[in-house]
Amino acid sequence: MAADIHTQLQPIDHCGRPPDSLHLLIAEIPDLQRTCSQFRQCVGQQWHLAADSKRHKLVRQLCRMDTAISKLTSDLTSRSKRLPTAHDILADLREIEEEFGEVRYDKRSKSLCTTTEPITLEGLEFGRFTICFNLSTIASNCDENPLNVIALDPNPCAADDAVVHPHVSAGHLCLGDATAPLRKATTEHRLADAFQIVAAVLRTYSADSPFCAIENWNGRPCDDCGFIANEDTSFYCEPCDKNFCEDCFSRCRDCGESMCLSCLSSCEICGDRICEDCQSLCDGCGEVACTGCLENELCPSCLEDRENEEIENDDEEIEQESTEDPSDKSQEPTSRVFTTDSTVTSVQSDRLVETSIHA
Amino acid sequence: MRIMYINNFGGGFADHIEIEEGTTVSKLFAQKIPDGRPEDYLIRVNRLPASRDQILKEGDRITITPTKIEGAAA
Ligand SMILES: [Zn+2]
Ligand SMILES: [Zn+2]
Ligand SMILES: [Zn+2]
Ligand SMILES: [Zn+2]
Ligand SMILES: [Zn+2]
Repeated sequence: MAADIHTQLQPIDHCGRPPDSLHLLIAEIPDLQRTCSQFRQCVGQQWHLAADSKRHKLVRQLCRMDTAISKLTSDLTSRSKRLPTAHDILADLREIEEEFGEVRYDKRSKSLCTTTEPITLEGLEFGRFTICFNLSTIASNCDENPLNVIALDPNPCAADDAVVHPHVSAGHLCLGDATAPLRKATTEHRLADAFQIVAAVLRTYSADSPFCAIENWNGRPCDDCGFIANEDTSFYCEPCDKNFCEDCFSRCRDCGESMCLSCLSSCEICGDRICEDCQSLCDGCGEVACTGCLENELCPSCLEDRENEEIENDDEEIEQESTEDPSDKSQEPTSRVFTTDSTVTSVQSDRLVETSIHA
Repeated sequence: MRIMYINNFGGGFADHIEIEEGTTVSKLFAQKIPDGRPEDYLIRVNRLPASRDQILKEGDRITITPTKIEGAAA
């Protein structure tokens, strides 16, 4: 097994990074030669300004090459220097076995796997996890993720079946602080270290940034905003048969019935939430309003409009009356015109005008 | 005296380092992780669990791995 793994881990450079960066470095050389001869010419001709500009260009090119060289060197040496022998791999496998009780290598999938003890975080059981590293991905030294984490006794978060650990979703472990040391361990093929680093993440709960927080593990997602509310802060809305968080749930100001915000309307006048049963529509403009905000089935602005209209109508009628044939006036001087139903058909004096307005 | 020193926290480190003769595991730990507590780390010398007063020898391979590392999401 150690020999197989050692063979599998031989660098294959799928990503071709060293040759690529070497290629880029070589491509810089003709440019460098050109700048160099231009610089020499400028100096020879005593073109000081031009010489200065070429010197700057030369420095920039050399800096670029310097970076490329150190990257290439570290890439090549860190890999040749540290790559373990078959004997080291065997020692690693023994260490993994001693730590986790087992280690398996699947030749077909090129995966090296082990299984953790049952993991409990903050009193919540998540069961055992199988940690698998794909060795051909490790050997290729790509940025591709070689790690896969599988829950053997899954206790998924209520909101998402794929989340089987606060930091594991769909086989992907979010490494957080372990990113750099794990990357270093896999690049250097330190397999036992890699498994121990992953186990340390699985054994830790970081409340700052979980896929699903432990306190909401058995909670329900709010149908409106998606927030996972725990049992105490999740509410059921009967009209729509869904669950909601505190923020997306309220009650009718009139009858007190609790419902989600979609099942409640807002009174367009006072803004209070009202259920369908308690809502009224303004007779004038059709706006949704609570009973408290309507007077004579009108919203305040329609009520005001109607009152103004009435006054205007009355004024118009008065005006009409007063501009009618003056001969009538002379023939029938006073009292005939006043009727009891508050409708003034003919008004003759100031006193009567006032009466009709207030009627 | 040269030993192989590997730490699996922070940015990770694995290289040979020079230490004084007679350096114990806990002395090296205190030098490398001054504000850490040894009980929060898995410390192995030559792949075996090490005691704190174990004296390091030329060519030893010491690994220090935190027992808990904070993961994240996304
Ligand atoms: Zn909500
Ligand atoms: Zn109501
Ligand atoms: Zn609802
Ligand atoms: Zn209202
Ligand atoms: Zn209205």
